[in-house]
Amino acid sequence: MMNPRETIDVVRDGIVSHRDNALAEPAHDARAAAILGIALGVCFTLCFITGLVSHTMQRPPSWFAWRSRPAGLYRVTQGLHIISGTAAIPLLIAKLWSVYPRLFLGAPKNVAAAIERVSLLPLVGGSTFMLFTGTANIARWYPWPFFFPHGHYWGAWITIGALVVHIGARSSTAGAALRNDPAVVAAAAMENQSGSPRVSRRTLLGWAGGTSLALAAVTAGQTVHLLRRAVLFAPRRPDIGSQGIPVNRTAMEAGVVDRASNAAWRLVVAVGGTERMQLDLAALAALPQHTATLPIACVEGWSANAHWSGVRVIDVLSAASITSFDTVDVVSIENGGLYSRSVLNTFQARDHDTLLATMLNGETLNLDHGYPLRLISPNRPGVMQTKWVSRLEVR
Amino acid sequence: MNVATDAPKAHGPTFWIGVVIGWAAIAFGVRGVFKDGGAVGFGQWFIGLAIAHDVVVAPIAFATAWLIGRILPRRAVLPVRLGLASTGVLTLVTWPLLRGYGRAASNPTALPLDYRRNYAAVLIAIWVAVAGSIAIGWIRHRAPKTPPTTTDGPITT
Repeated sequence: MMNPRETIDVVRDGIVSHRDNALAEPAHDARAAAILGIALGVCFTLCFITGLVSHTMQRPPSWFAWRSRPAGLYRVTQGLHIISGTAAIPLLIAKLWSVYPRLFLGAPKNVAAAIERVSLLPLVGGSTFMLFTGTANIARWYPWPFFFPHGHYWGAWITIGALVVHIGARSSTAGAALRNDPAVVAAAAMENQSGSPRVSRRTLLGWAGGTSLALAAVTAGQTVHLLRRAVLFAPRRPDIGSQGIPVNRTAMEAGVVDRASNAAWRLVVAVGGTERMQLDLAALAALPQHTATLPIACVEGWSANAHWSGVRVIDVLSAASITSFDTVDVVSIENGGLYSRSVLNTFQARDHDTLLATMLNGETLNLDHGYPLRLISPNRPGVMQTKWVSRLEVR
Repeated sequence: MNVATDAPKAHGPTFWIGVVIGWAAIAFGVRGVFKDGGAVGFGQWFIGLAIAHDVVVAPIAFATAWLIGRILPRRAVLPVRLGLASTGVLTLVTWPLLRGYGRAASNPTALPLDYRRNYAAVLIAIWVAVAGSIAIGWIRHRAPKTPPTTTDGPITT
């Protein structure tokens, strides 16, 4: 019968033995970790940059205004954001599996090693957090107690920071591992003492890359037209929806059915809080009508092109004798809420394709698409294409 | 070779530059979490997911892989391990779709596909591939070795 001390020693020796056996295998070596790390780093960097684009479009800093062109820029960046995030999931799983034995390394030998080890918590926590919350968000599932855009945005800074520390710590090791392929040496370790077959590095990388590409292929059709037929697991399909376009938030969900259907509806144009003009649908129809083919591009990654018809925002402002302005707030009849208003900067408001649309794909807008009036403007997230518009506030 | 030691070159100037820039970004993110509220819930999920991976998911995955190596015939081990890994990833990614958490009666355009049918179809494809891989390995193993071809004379170099 072993005493507790002996038991601890046996368990520790067993863990060390298994750890060293595992680390001697190609699937757990520095080369496998480096290749997976580079692939993951590319995906995370893409996610971070495109996420920043989305964030600054929705909450622009005072010193910066996004241009309205190219019209499909946000469609591309947000599509890439979701695709690269989805593709990163198998890569992250493979990477964590590859480096897991290193979790059982002994205590850090110096301060630098301790900092590196501590920095792994925000890296592993942040990576799993970002991919989990992102995947749940596009499926409209919110099991956590915090506001998703805030948590996802600040989580991205923590994760990318931890990634920078990790790259700084591991770049020389990874470079050496990539230059000197230890495959010949490691091949001898392909079988452990029991003769059980192990996963080779090529198998691990092939599985991770293949699964990653396959996942991207069966979800990317929600924004990439060529892959639409392959869509199996996307939360939206761009051609499924009333009037040929999906709906992010219905009139019923927004609680605007009665007010949006009310014949007393008017569009109010105000300058500095003072009402300048009111227009009903007939008055809007009397203004010059234009059609623009623009994508509606959702923050959740789906996008679809549509033909929108209505009046230009700049023409409505001209009709109210407004020629000089900085921004235009587009306000919905919704009772508050984060997305009940959006701001057009001067580039967006003056763009000739920025419309207050009354028609979609040749039909009068239905309630779920924003009847009687909705905003559609190039290069903006879908949540900022305000629906059920009732007021323009010019500043 | 001691595989369990950190390479000393890992902590040169590049490392310290990374530490300064990286921890500045981490501090910026943490500050933002506290500024916007919900820090407790955020922290629980952030740390909880890391712990869930390291303490629950990874040990189960390694134990399953080890068990498969013990109980299955040698030629079936790798295909079954890869099949299980693929099944796990597929289930993880599609879980909210399969459960339909985001479905809303008033919005038929959200989660409009038959995800359970698609999941079943992909699952069948994965395990057919696993079975095929095992069968091919078995057939190759059982096939008689081809006799060496005759040559007109000894080959000298």
